[in-house]
Amino acid sequence: MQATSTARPFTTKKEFYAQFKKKSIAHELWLRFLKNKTAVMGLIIFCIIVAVAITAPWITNYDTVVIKMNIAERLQPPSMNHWFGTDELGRDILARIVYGARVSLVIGISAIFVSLMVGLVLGGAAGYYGGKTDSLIMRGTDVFLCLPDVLLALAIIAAFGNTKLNLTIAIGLAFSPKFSRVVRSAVIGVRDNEYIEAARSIGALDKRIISRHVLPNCIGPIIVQVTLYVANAILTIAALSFLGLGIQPPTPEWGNMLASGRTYMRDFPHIVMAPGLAIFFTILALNLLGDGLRDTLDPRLKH
Amino acid sequence: MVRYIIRRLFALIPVILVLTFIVFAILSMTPGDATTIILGSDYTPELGAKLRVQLGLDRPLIVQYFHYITHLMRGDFGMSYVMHAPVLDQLRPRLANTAWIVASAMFLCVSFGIPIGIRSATKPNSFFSQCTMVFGLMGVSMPIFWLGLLLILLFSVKLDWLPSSGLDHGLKSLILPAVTLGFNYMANIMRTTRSSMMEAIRQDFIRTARAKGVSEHKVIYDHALGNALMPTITIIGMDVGTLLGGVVLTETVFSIPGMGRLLVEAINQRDTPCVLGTLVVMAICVAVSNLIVDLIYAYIDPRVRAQYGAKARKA
Amino acid sequence: MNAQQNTLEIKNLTVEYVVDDEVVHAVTGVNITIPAGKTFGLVGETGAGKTTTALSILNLLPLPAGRIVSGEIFVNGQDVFKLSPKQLRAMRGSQVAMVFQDPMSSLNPIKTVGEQIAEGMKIHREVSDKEALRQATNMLEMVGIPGGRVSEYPHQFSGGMKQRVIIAIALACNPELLIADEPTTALDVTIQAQVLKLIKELREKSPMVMLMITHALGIVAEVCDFVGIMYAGRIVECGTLADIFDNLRHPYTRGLFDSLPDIENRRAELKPIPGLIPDPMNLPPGCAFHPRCSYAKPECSRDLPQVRWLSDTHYVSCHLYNETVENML
Repeated sequence: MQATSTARPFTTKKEFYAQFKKKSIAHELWLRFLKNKTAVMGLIIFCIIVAVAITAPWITNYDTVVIKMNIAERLQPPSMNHWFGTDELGRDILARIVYGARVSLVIGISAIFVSLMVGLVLGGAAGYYGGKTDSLIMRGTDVFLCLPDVLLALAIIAAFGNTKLNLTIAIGLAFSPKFSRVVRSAVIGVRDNEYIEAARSIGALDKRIISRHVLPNCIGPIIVQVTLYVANAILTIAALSFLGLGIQPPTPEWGNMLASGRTYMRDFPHIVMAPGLAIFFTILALNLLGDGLRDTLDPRLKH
Repeated sequence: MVRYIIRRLFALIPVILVLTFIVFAILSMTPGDATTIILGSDYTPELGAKLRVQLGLDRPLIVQYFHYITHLMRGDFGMSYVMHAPVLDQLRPRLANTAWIVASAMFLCVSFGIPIGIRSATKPNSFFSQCTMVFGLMGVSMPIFWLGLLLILLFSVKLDWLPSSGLDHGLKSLILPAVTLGFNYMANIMRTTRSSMMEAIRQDFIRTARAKGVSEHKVIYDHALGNALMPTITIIGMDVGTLLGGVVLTETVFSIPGMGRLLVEAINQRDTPCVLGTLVVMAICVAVSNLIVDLIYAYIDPRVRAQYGAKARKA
Repeated sequence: MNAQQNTLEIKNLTVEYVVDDEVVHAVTGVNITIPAGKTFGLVGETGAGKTTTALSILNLLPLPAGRIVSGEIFVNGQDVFKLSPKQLRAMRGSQVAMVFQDPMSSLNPIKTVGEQIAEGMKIHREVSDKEALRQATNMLEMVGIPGGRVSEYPHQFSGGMKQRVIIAIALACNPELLIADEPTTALDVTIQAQVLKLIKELREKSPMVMLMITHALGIVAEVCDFVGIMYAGRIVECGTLADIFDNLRHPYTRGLFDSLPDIENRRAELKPIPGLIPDPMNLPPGCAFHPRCSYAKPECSRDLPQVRWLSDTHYVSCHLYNETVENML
């Protein structure tokens, strides 16, 4: 390899090959993702929601605005002072929505994190080892699939109570069977590929094969499902809180805001608009994002 | 084929047993003493202790479970802690109400969702198709308890066309709850039908059919749809569980005395037998509907049927 | 050749695919004429435009991408592109039938083979269901499958058998023109021989015209009366079997024959055609073959070669023959 003209910007082999590395797979995928406008929109909306949740303490004060009752100003429609109006106890709805985002996002994401851990272990083992392990684990998840997510979470909450931790675990466990299935099919899709056989034939240990070859290639469908399940988890939290079995007032949560506002909605409809829109947009954003990720990672599906 | 059905029915039993055991085990960990709930203000420690023995609450979990299951098979769901009446008496009327709502929701969804999905698949770039996709996306993102409230605001409060609660007005009462419950479901069905139809139309055998001179109508509604139906049915079946989850919310929003509301009330009152009973019934419904989906699948897809029916011959 | 006698006439056919604003020139200026009772072999590598030509005859191009830009196709004197949808459907399966390349996916998995064979009969002939089924059973026997299997499903058949079923479907209504698109490519060699034998027998039984699309010269030698060599969407040489096999003129045709391994001389070096077939979205200017041609001249990269008739039956499209009909290879 010789530099044949002074125009060459690199002089060593390393630099020559480095120019190809820059267009790494992640970069290409990112570019492809950007072409999907609805997915980008979803990502932006979701980032806004996350940003709002994180900066909540700077936007508004918890004790004075979110929880403190202010009967004089109750049930006011949207105005310059209160962009979304006030609720039945005089609290600014916008502030409550902002703090509600924190609760939903934290619990939703943590719950799916729990599901992910359980699902990776169970699904990974089932998919990779096959045979008896697979049958056993699949039978197990089959059973759980008869109890839809909300109901299973309800059962756990009925037994253990509805603290934030319990909610996280309950929802996490409720989604684990589905997640195990997803992981399992992703692993099965990869396991039978020839490069796995090749790795095994040179004596690589199972653990190494799994972590270095199987998992990285499964990540695609798993990431898509994570996104979609987070949406589902947030919806479940809101639903449980709406039923009175999730986050209790006065802690603001979009679901329980709808429940307490319900009594007044006939005469003051604004009270149920903002929380509902918040839930809707969060879930919509995550769904758009999830669909977009799915299209990016498997373009075959689109055409 | 009949053997397949019987085999699946038998396979259902261990699933239900394990399921009920799990729910039973979870609920047995409910804090608080059952006896305090049952006796209420009449509670004294001695009475409580006597009641515990009487109810068998001091026995090991497995024994309690066995006791429960044997009674369950006779149709005895135990006694409600709160109502002091058989759980079955509370379940029965409510089951009918819930069934009405779920059935109407399913009917609506399937009869609208599938045709719309098919239409939008045949002309994928048309305005209709784009609208379908948008509606589909909105539909699966919509929280149904909010939708219910919005529908009440519009159709009950503002327009006064439809009742906002209860089931007293016959069919009119069913409309809003059915639409609410089925919203996510229908969006899902539309999307799935659309994409599986599009997938089916792309297959080579469609080209073969056209090359034979088959009319376009038959190509779509017979050749393509027959193959596209399978993933759609899978989704329809799988989501019965989600419908049951949603029915809890729908009944709460529309104040309908059904199993969903019973479940929530029972949880609030710590009425464990009631909670258990409701969950068991719901789980059985889901298990049975899964079975029905599998059977429909086997009926439609000869490849599945062949595994369990006539022996497959390969030349 | 008397126009009335020609079962198939393709005149100056040009077909494009439009994908994501890019245009693929699949077929350009193709002319094919098949008189009654003869078999025409369309030879070329993958991507040369053979399948597109075949699909155009029945107007079966995949929409919305496929577009017939210009040209005419006459089947028994009828202009295919001027037919109403109803007339076109009446022609498909009864006058013109097609056998597709991949038997694995060309059959509907949820219908019995009997139903699929009978479907064509029920459309094009007024027969009862029972009668159609009976005839379907006969068709199966004709292609060498036991008639009792008429109520079985495609997945219960092997690849070779599936292809026979597809042939049975194609021949069910006694078509006058059979288009066979690489009917044996997806099959094992031994099964290939069986299916070829079947095709030859069926041809002997009825005076059917066949358009045989293939990339295998051996099959052409077995079955065809006329041969057309296709490259990058154009026919570069065309003539009778003798014209092409004994008296070939075009460098590409030469390359095709040269690249066949010589079974007598196992130690000889293989002679592939250098280079790759061109990207149909980006065809080279002038003659599309010129980058790979060892006889290339300056005009080859500028101008499209004209069609030059070397005899009554044999034409070639190459700048080598602009002035002479002598063999330049």
